[in-house]
Amino acid sequence: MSKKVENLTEHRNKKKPPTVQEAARRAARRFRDMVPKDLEEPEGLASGDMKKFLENPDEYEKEDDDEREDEK
Amino acid sequence: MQATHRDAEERYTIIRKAVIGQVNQDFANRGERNNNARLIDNVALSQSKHWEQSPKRRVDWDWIGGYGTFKFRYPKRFEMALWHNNKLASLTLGRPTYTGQRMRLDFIEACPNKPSDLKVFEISLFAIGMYAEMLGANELRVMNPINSQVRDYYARFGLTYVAAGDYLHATL
Repeated sequence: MSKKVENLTEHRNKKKPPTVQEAARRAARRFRDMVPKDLEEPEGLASGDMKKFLENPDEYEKEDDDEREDEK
Repeated sequence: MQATHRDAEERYTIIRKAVIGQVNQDFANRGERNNNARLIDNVALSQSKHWEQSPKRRVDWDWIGGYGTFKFRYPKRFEMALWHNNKLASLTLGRPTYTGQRMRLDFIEACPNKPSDLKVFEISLFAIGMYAEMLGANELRVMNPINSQVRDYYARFGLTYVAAGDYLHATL
């Protein structure tokens, strides 16, 4: 007897996506409600490497290659 | 623009707008009437040019070029312009990875002169976290914090730093 092996991405895509309200509740619980109110944001906050992206977007995109390898 | 690209742009704009709407609902629930979230538009990009004059600015990014290229390449992107008292407070761009398993927050910049009690990262993380949930991603990555102070601040949100890729991540 053979058992059908399902691709993980296909399996995930079959899941019903949450409503925006459900997604908001989960994101708030994870990132908004647990943070101390007295936490100060650093001045001039920024993250990312826009210069690297603009200089060579194809090369920048290769950062995802580990995930592509995972899928193989 | 190919039809498939245009179709994706339209489908994901619906999700982006739903998330932005929910962020504004959250502001209303909290009584934060001075705050407003929108998609990135020409008005926001034009205002970002004013940041160049601030001595407090830590990066010298070209948001007009950056946004244009990002938008062209990634129809599934997340984007948000955060406004405070009708002044641009931050810009955020992110995208799901190739398989959709991960969501990346690629670029965020706060207005160098924003009020110190306005926490744009917390709001942006909430918004992109919501977008990631709607797309079924199981991990969120915040790429390339510009210095250790910013990196340590992100860690207070439960994000873990990975030096090898210079990002912080959280499981969703």
